Amino acid sequence: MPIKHPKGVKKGTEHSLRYMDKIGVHTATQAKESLLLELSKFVSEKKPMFADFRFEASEGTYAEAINGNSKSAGKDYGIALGVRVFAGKEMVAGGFAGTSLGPSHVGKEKDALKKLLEEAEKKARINSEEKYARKEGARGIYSTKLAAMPQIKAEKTKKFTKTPLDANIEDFVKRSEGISKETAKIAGVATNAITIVSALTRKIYGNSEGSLIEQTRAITEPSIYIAAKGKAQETYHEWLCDAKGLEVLEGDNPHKKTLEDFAEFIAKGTVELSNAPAMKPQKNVAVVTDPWFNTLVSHEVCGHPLEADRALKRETAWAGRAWWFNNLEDNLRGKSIGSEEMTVASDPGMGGYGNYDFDDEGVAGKRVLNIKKGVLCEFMNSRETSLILGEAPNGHMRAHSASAMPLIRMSTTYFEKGSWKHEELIEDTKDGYYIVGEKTPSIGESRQNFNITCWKAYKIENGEIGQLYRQAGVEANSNEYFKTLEAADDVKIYNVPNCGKGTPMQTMRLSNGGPHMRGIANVTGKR
Amino acid sequence: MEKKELKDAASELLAFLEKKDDVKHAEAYCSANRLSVYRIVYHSQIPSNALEEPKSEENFGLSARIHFTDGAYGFGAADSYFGKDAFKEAYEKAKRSKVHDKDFKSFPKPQGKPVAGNYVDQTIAKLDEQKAIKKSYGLLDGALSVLSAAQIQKGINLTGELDVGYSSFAVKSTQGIDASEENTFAAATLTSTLEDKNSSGVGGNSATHLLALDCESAGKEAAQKALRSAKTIKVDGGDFKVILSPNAVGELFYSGLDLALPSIDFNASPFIARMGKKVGSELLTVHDNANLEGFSGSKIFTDEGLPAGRTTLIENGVLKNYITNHYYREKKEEWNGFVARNGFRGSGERKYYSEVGVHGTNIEVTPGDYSETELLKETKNGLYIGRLWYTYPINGYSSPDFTSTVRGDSFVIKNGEIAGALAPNTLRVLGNFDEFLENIKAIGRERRAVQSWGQDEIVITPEMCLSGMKFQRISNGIY
Repeated sequence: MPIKHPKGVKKGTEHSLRYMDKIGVHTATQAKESLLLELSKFVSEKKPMFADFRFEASEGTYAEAINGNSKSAGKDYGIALGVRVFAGKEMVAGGFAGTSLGPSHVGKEKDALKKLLEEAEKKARINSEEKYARKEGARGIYSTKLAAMPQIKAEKTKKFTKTPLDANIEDFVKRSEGISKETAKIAGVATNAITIVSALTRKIYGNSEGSLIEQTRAITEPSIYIAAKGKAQETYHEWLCDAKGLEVLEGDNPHKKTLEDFAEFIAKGTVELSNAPAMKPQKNVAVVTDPWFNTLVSHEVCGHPLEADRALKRETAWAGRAWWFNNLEDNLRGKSIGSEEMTVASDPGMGGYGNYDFDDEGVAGKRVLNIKKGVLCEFMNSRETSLILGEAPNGHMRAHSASAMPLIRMSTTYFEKGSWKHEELIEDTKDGYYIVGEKTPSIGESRQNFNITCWKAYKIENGEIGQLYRQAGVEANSNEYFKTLEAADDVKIYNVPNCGKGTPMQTMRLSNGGPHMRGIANVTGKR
Repeated sequence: MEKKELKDAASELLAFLEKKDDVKHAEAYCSANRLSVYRIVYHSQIPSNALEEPKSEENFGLSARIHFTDGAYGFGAADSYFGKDAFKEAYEKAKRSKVHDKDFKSFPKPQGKPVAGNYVDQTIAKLDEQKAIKKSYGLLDGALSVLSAAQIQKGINLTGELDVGYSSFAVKSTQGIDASEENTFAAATLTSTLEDKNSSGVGGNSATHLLALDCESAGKEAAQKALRSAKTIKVDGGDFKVILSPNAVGELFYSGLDLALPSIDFNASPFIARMGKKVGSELLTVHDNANLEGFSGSKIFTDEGLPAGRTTLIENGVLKNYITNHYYREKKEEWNGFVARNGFRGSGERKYYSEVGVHGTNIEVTPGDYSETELLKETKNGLYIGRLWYTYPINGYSSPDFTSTVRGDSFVIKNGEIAGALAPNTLRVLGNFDEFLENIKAIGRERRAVQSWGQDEIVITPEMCLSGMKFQRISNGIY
């Protein structure tokens, strides 16, 4: 089902209630010094190579309406704690433990931390012994190492205008129900669902090197689902989200639309699409892709294989590998994998969901130039994988909740601007297709091939946009497509609330995007 | 946390709620969950941690679902504590967040007798970390022993996991519901990739009891399959007769077999308005069966406290039922005939903090008469598809169109025999779910339990022979 609630924000009630006075984002601030002290005690006693903790407190409000009927709403909090310990005599190995917490833990967070540290340390020690016992028979096994980092003390709050803490349940219910009712009146709309979510989260990070970091940010994340029945049936689901407060609902978001306008835009567009002819598959044609569609291309075809854990074959069974990196000796680093118009960067400093100052192992997020003018350069990494790859740590380890183990995740991975104006790309295309909006990806295991469907596709004839088609997409060999890419100068970034990775699945918020681009690919259609 | 503590807390919460003047009906729910994951990551030439992530996550808490006297419905949860303050927190949250949902009619009343079963393993409930870590290393040991015997030392990439889960819950309502249950599961899987040979193989199994899980055998199986696939053949795209492995069938069911009533209500399933109609081959019969000893989707009770059971989904190719919870069953008169056997707050975990949704349990395909040899003869010339990757309904939730790519464990069939391994990652499936179900021409007799990454249900299925499936050649390989 397309409706999901963000982690750490569960069903709930008003901020003014007794327990909400006791628990909130301030809980994180109140607990942080005692947590670091408890970690220091543990380190003095057990002497692990490294240990860290993540503590997080969230407050949020949400409402959901389907076909004009309010379904659920709430205002609640969530608290979570997780630790990593790396220890061992002959070989260092890791252990991890996490838990959600409640009101009974407030003021006693250090007790929960102590319990988790002991549990993780036990896992690490047993793991170390088992690892060492197999060293001779398994040559790839090594003693875990982490890149050295300076001690960091910091407090960071991302700017927002209207705090999610002021969100009112009744307002959310009324607004979601009202928009859903209006959407249901649009001819051709068979089903609609509107959700509104807004939350404020404060995360504390501390480690055995003495770092203590507090970071606070807001998210507001409404979404719309439409099933339209015209000549055919079309479904579409999209978010209107940003790492900001309630101002997102009033148009301060990448789509520059209020929630009401966005719902109408998606609903009418999907109805129009349901009456359009289905695309017939086309081979090797020019495709001009818009920034919204390139959000999914930059995410799936560039961002994922640029995560160091995939390159180092640590995700083979789950997320897959990277076609441009076989092993440390045999890879395409420093070599051309795309056109000179193809530059890809990952930047935690840009606004949106991919924006943060420090990752979840306390490393400052740095801009990474992944692909420069078609040449493969650097991966998004962790303290451990940066050492193996011979790169500087760039701060891309993140967990979707403090109770989960951090993984290498994208920040804002996007195509950089190129030399064209976007209108020129259209005008210069005699025969091709204009691809608008992201839909569904199906990607090869090592990201060597992709098939990504779009919301809308238009025929381009002699530089002009014409006929609209439904059920279209772009399919290509990644390397061949990259070599044909041309890029405009109108980079736009969108926010992605649902990137899945890890076991159990962690749903991460991040950002992607790019400018209008043109390449040669197959256009998929109705078979 | 002991089941008795959860039962006592549910009783006390219900008693607390019953005293409130504005409560017409209420349901009290308490649960505790723990998931331990042991993730194996090994590469012969890249520094590896072997057991990369020995980790665990746990939670416990309670929630109240309340039908208020003014007709509104509310939900409230409290994390990580029981007692009066927690009860008050859940009640106040439900009250403050209540909505007038016109589709909410009532909470369920007891109905039918539950089918007894043993779906809990106390070894998992009281997990010994040392034993679990040792067991997970069995995946690595099993694979490396096979590869060492075959004198393979380079280009080895082994990735997989042992997952061990425990959940316990109790639910009690003013309508007379009173149920509790403990469940455990264990699952192990390993992917063995031999890079110099461009081959890979998957081994694994799942169970409700840890002792029934043999990690070393799963590791050996993965390596043996990779070795069997060492000489690969590349084929061009086109229409092929195919045999689908249990893994491939499971992946396709995950992508397209959406028979949950909320998806039908949402116009988000290819099975809308097809009840009682032919949706596949006459050979195909599929049940959702929660009462299967030894299979990890098994449960005695739903999270609504109703008996979990066996629902016929497709019988001889005809669509017979949607799966539902009590809410959706009551939403429309035409849906009253469906039995609410699938009201769960998620799969694999009893989530006190979530509303009741609709989730499958064990999706069971009725076996046919064919041995693997007979399936190969029936296919004569074609492809054996062992593992699919990144399968999605690309043209929207209500369209049967899907696409996917073929990973390892796949073979070329010539003259009724395996002629060699199909080169991994070289073909894309251009699929249609209706055609997949319609094209089933023979079903194997041996079943296997599989679960795709992120999938709710366990799929228990034999191999299937299909008269046709479309493929597109997409590459010559990875490196």
